[in-house]
Amino acid sequence: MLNSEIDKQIKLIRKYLKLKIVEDNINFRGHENERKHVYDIFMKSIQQGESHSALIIGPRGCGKTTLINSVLYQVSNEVDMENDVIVVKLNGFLHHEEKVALKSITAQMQLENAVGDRVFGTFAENLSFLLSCLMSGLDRRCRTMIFILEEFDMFCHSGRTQTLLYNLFDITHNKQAPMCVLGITNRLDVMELLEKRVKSRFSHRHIFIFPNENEMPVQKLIDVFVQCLSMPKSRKIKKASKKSTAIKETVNLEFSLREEIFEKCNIDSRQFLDLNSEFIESWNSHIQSLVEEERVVDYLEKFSYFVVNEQIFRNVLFQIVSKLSPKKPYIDPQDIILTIDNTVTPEHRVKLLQSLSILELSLVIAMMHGMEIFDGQPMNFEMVLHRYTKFANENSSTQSVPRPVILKAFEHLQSLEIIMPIRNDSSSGDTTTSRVQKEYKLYTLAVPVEDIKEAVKGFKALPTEIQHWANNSVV
Amino acid sequence: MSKRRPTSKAVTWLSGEVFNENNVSNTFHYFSKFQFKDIIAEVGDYVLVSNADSAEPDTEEGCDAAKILALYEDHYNKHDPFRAKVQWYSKVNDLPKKNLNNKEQLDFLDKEVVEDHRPFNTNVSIETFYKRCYINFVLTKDTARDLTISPYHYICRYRLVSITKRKIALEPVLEEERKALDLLVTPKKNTTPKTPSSLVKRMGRVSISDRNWSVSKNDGTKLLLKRAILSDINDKELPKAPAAPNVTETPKSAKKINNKFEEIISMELKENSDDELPTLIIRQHIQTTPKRKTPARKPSLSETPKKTLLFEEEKEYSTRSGRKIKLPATYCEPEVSPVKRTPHRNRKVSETSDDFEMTPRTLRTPRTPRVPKTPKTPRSSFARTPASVKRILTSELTPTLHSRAHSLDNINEFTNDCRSLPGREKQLDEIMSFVKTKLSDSVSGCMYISGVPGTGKTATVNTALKILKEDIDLPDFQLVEVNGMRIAEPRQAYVQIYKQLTGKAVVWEQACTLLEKRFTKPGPRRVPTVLVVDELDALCNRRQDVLYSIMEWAAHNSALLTVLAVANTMDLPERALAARVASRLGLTRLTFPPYTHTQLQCIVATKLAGANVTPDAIQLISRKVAAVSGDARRALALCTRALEIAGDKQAGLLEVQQALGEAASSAAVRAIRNCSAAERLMLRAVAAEVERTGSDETTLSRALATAAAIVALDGRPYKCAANIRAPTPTQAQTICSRLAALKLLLLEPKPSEPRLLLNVSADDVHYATKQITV
Repeated sequence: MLNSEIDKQIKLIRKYLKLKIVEDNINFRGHENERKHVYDIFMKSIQQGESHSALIIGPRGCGKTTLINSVLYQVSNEVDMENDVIVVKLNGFLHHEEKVALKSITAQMQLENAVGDRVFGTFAENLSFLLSCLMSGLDRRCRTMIFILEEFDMFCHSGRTQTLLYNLFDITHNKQAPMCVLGITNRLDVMELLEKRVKSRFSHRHIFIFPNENEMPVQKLIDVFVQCLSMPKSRKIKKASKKSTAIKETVNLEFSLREEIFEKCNIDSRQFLDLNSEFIESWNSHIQSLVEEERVVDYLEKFSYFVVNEQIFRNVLFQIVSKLSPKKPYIDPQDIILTIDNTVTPEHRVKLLQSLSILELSLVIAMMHGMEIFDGQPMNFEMVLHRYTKFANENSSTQSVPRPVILKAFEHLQSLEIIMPIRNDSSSGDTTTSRVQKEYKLYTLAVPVEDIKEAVKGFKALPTEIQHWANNSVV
Repeated sequence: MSKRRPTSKAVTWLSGEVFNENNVSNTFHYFSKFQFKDIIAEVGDYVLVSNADSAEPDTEEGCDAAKILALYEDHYNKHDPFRAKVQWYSKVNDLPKKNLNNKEQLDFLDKEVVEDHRPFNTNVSIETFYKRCYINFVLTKDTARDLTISPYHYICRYRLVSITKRKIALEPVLEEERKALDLLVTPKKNTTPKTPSSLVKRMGRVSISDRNWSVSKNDGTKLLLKRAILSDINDKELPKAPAAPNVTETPKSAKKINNKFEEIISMELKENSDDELPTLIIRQHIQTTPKRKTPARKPSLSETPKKTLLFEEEKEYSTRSGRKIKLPATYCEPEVSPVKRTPHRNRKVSETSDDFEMTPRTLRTPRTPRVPKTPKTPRSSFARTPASVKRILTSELTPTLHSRAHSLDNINEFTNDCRSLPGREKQLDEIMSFVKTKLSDSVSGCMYISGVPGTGKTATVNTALKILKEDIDLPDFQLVEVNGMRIAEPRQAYVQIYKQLTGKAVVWEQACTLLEKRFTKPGPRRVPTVLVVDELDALCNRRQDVLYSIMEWAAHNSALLTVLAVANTMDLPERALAARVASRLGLTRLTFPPYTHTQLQCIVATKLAGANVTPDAIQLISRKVAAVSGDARRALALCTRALEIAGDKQAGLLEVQQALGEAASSAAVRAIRNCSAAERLMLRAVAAEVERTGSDETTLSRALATAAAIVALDGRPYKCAANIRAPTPTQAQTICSRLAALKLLLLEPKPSEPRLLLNVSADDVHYATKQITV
């Protein structure tokens, strides 16, 4: 195969896999019962005009939103979504207060007081208008409304009272309009956040989604690995024209991406027609051989020991795929190991401490000992300096440093937020501390002692006195 | 009296004190003529009276017409001594919509009033008079021709009489027409009022000439019966009042030969001249003849103490005007018109052309914004382009949703709602009797209703008011509902109340002042109001001004305001409300206790009648719910879910158990089992630390130390682990923050030493982690 050809193939594979890892929010695996439940609720709301409310609860990255997307995709193939359904999506982080949420609802429902994305009128007007709109659905001639509230817990304490939730649940409970309210949250105690009257109107449908409830975590990771990294298998029927192969690739195959995703990303799916089937074959077998390799499986196990979040694993895969290049057309197992290591044991603070100068680290150690002795009492620069000079005087080999330099180093520690000024709780204290000279401002150590010890252990070219001093406070 | 305080008085009497036979007290001094600002009127005149309940009391729209029956000064009423007794004339909009007994739809004219005999308070203050006005009494058939369009001129064709307390009927205002109607149609039953259209149908044709009347039946031609009113010729200040209907038409006379007719008229006139002087002249109306007016002047008793005959009176009047023909019975107005004529004629000329369009036109132009836009107009999403939209007023829009393309086939299932409230009969009775007493005694009052959510408070109140609305023995009342959770902020409650009372949307400051005015000032024509305030606690703000003013209005008996305040907590008045509000809330309280399991069983059975559930299952649900909250909503939701799980089969105990399990929101054990091994390790460490120290709180470093011990016992955590050791502090912090996101742990973010709080019980952690071997 020519170099340029490999170049092109690798680029295409990289592009395709990245799309698959990051953008695919329709494919959903597992959790058949929960998915069916959500699907039933949607279909009943749409086809029978019933009103429902439900909560989907699960830890982050377990696929709650993907579940909704996949159900919505399936529903859109079965009913006339355009004309029968209004989907209103809200996110508790974006619509942090009811004013914003209300405007967004009005705009998404294209009510009469909305022009495009802009909504007119005051908050009070909008609220009463929206409510009377929603209540006009009593005759069931209006479209079914599907409200998807992501980060549902954030709606629970926004504003004065839970007006929005009260009204949404009240309408579904009184069946005033064909409406389905679906909350998505990762807080297990979300019900305790609801007001009593809101709770009473909620239908108490909890749909819990937990990762790997039915399978071993490692096996699941291997499945995801294979699924995300394998390319669509082209059929053996090579007689068909290129175009028909393409159709099979994008439509017929199980792991292929759907057209909607290409459209969403503004990517012409036809460019992937150029993929060489032989190359794909060899790529897929390469992926298979990777998961059979013991080292890789071990590290996947390590990953699953710490993290069960599929989203994080996808990020790992993305990093791996990004490293592909014409010079390195296959995934190196070492890359996988390194990426996983970096992900599960991110020792940022240790690295930060190791990047300090000897003087700065000595100050940190001095402060660590001081706080140990005085049982966590905050220290000011003079106290730290006193402890440091005591140590420096004991060890003649230590270079003596003028005081302004030490002060500068101390300030650098503060700007790195390794030490933090203590906050005064009383408001009057604030003014007094601001008047205090900087040498006498009180600071507390912001990194755990374990991290310092770890950093000292791995510090390159650290004088042995300091290393000894760090492990032993007796000077 | 006018001499005593001539300057400070707002009202000046322009006549001497007159005798009134109804004057039982010596504190009332009757007069016959007054001046108030620029209004000079006397007994028998018509005025516009400001209606404090309307949206804009100081415009013509916000006033009601009335005829002054008596004027007096009450010396003991220091606040408002100048009073008047009036006969009300209601505007068409103020007529009750549904209680009319008339079958046919009546087409009312633009400036039409109806003589109103409903039991309104007829005693008003003169200072509420707004303007003089004039009312022409015409026959019901006169639609367009005799329209008085000049300002403050109204026409009156019907009068409203109450048959029972709720039932009212419209009948022609002119007595001769009523009598003609009675005799023509149903000679036996002369009390039944007739609808105008039936009158037209049955009377066929009545034609009246100067001296003759002829009424013939079964003729399709127009009824040409006209009452000529002599226009007031002196000036506008002088009273001009149409006469009361005096000339009666008997069927015999109508059917009699023409020359006999005048005798009958004159006879009738003489008969009626005792109490009121008839001034009506009936003559044939010819299409080309312009409108005639009769001097319709009702002489007050003071002026004409002796009973004068019609002819004398007319003569006197005509002379004053200077150009009237002496004989009123044969008076035919010449082309040369008196004072008022010109504007009328001009108007009339313009209108004769579209004579037949008058009725639709009045319908087409809505007089108040209360007329809603046609509901349910499907609106295409592209109809509104930004360029075409200038300004959108939310108050003018019709709240609609996009209609769906594929209609549902089971619409009826949702529209029928079950109105029975098992287990709440006592509360229903109590609410009904409370409201009933307040309504029938015409006083204000306030009731506080409390109970935990889902005990049927709102449903019971709504049912009670629905029943009372249909009760014909009670006076009609206006129902206003405000839900504290459906408004953006407490003060929007004013806007909601005002909108439901008058149909106008204003800002809250304005609504507050207008409501204040309405409820604190006595209104003579006030309809009782029942105000339901749901979720009362949501209306509490720091100043509590909204609650205060609502309760304050309900303390005024003249406001006729009954407040039903609904809230969750029993002790809200004591706990959250300021003393001044709680005091006004009163002591009438009603508590809805949580449903017992038998009541819940009954509710589920009635609500889900026909559902395939075993009685055991219902009982299990009822008992489970009654033990926790007694919330009927929850019981129903559980039952629905159980039915859903069962599918086509009968829902039994198993399905109910599953539904109960789903509804129990705690899934801590499941959540812990599905955590990663490292997360479980941290949880175990925290749990062990909590058990060891006995305090709920621990620090990350202490938990890490425990974790290290646990790891040492458990062995190598994963295959490629380099050594047997606990997670590093950084890892531990990441793990803990993930657990905190799930709220299994509570994490107090303190950079150096994070504090951890176990949010589940330590037993849960042990139970969830014990079987799993890493």
